[in-house]
Amino acid sequence: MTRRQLFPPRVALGFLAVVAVLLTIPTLQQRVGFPLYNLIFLYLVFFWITQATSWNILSGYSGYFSFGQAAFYGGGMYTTAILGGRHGWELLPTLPVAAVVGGTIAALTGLLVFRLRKLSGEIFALFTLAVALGIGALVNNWGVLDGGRGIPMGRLDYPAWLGDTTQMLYYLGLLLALVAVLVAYVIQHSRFGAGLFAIRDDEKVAEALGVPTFRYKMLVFILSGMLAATSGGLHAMQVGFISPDGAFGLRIPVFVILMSVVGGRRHWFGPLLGAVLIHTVTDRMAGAGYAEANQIVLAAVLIAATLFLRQGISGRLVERPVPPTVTFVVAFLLAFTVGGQTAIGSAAVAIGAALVVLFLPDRWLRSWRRGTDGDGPPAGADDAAGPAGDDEEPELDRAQEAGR
Amino acid sequence: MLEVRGLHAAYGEAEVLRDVSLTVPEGRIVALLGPNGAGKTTLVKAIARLIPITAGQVSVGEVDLQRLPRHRVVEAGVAIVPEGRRLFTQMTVEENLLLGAYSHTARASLKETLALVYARFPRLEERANQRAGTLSGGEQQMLALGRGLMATPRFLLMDEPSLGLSPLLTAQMFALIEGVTELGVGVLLVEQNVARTLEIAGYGYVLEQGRIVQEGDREALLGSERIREAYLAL
Repeated sequence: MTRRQLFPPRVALGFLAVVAVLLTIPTLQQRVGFPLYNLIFLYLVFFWITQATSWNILSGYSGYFSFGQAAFYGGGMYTTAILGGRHGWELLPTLPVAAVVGGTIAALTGLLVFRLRKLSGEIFALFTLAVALGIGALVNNWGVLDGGRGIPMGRLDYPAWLGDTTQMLYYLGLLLALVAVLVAYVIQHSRFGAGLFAIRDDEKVAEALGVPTFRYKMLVFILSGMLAATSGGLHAMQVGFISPDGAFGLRIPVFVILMSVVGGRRHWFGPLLGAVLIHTVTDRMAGAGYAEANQIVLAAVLIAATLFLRQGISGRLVERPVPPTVTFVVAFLLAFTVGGQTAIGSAAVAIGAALVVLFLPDRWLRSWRRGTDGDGPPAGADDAAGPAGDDEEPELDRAQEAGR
Repeated sequence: MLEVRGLHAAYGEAEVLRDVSLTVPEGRIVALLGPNGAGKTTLVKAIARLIPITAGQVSVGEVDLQRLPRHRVVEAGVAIVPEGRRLFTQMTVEENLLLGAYSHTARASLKETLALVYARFPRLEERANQRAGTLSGGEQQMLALGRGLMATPRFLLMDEPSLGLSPLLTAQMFALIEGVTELGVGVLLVEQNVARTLEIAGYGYVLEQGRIVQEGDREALLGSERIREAYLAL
């Protein structure tokens, strides 16, 4: 659908710069000797970015809201645990198998819900949840897979150049997050993505316009499942002891939904932003000993995001990118140098400051939002006045507000 | 030639369309008239394969639409401007138009078609980057028509384009629909506004309780007792 370049130079450079900086961090960590925890923290950020992004290309882009993320995540995790932890495979070969397992679960579920029975809306959400819980129950009760004892991971072999376990997780986690984000980016800017967005907004009309809806839904479902399962397989190494509850429970789906809704579901950047934000907040709250209070904070964030931010934080950020970004950088540097905070603590402070700036001029923006965010004028309301009756209304309002 | 022959459709047990046959030639406007609940929208949806049919045939030239996958119907030349417009309200005007040209056949001539649509509806070009949901009702209907034209259809199924429009805007919309035929597009126009419709349609069918009860050219329909009493209140 685009007639522009897929990767304009600015975007390509941005991706390269971020990846280059992230790639140097493990080496820097060894040389400069800043806390190892930073690497673990960043790995978890990568993990959540991958999970949230994989959820979003299905549920955000196509609008099929899934509660079944754990089916893929847990499926991948158990694949690596059984092959590596129990049968002594090396780590790397287990990951493609995990991807195939995730893709297969997605394909079978997709055939069932998209072809056999055309499920959508809340029934689709419930069905995906049932699939995840069902697979969890199967794993919990069937000795061949687990049988409820859990699987200790032990030490899996992997190529030595990946460094120690923390570094290996860091590099592979970064790679998976990069792949997930690039997949989401490319989809969003492709004809495929345009078709998915059309499905989300009106599937019948999309089909009448020529979007092959069944094929697209299957394809994105399988992609989502493969990404989530590969990431789940790698995460088995971080978790160490794999249990059915941990793998197929509600934590993963709830968090990926939270991250994507807060970050914004209509943009590849949304889940990334949400993952960084939510994980940083969660980590700092837990670090400060307020793990319970954290849930209240997250609930409040989710409520605020659903009530006031239909496009998520990324939607607002696209509208006004500069002030929050500058605030973030300045606040981070200040907190890190003058404030003497840790890097993660500084990031948390900076995120807080950037969020405040992002939402500060609400009164100024409110009238503009009213002009563009609604579902349009009620049918017929403007018609008597004719098309000329509401000329440039949003812009006028904004200009008036700004002039006050 | 868009041809519907012996079409039956049902919602569950209830048969909504019974043995409906009609023809739309290229470059002509054919009216589909009838009271609320007669099955007009169902017929349009059945032709566009948005709902399944139980018997009958819908064809464009030699192509049997029922044999195509649903998303290929538009490539066979049949586009729909659905009742209530059903725009992608969260997307911009231009994004809506681009999605209209989603099919492979339409994509080949995307730029030319877009220029053509903008030339016919300058209003849409002015608002190209505005969200479709923020347009006025008349502009939204214009966009729905533009989106339909983006598919480079040979036949356009228009379901109640005057819905919710003022008399003035309805007149403008009908003029635009008449302009569509200059492109060689055949239009099946579903309307309750019978007087207006018969000003631009050369031929018409009357659907009542799922059956075609009358058909004829403009003069025949305007002269018929049934039409005059039931629809024109003369």
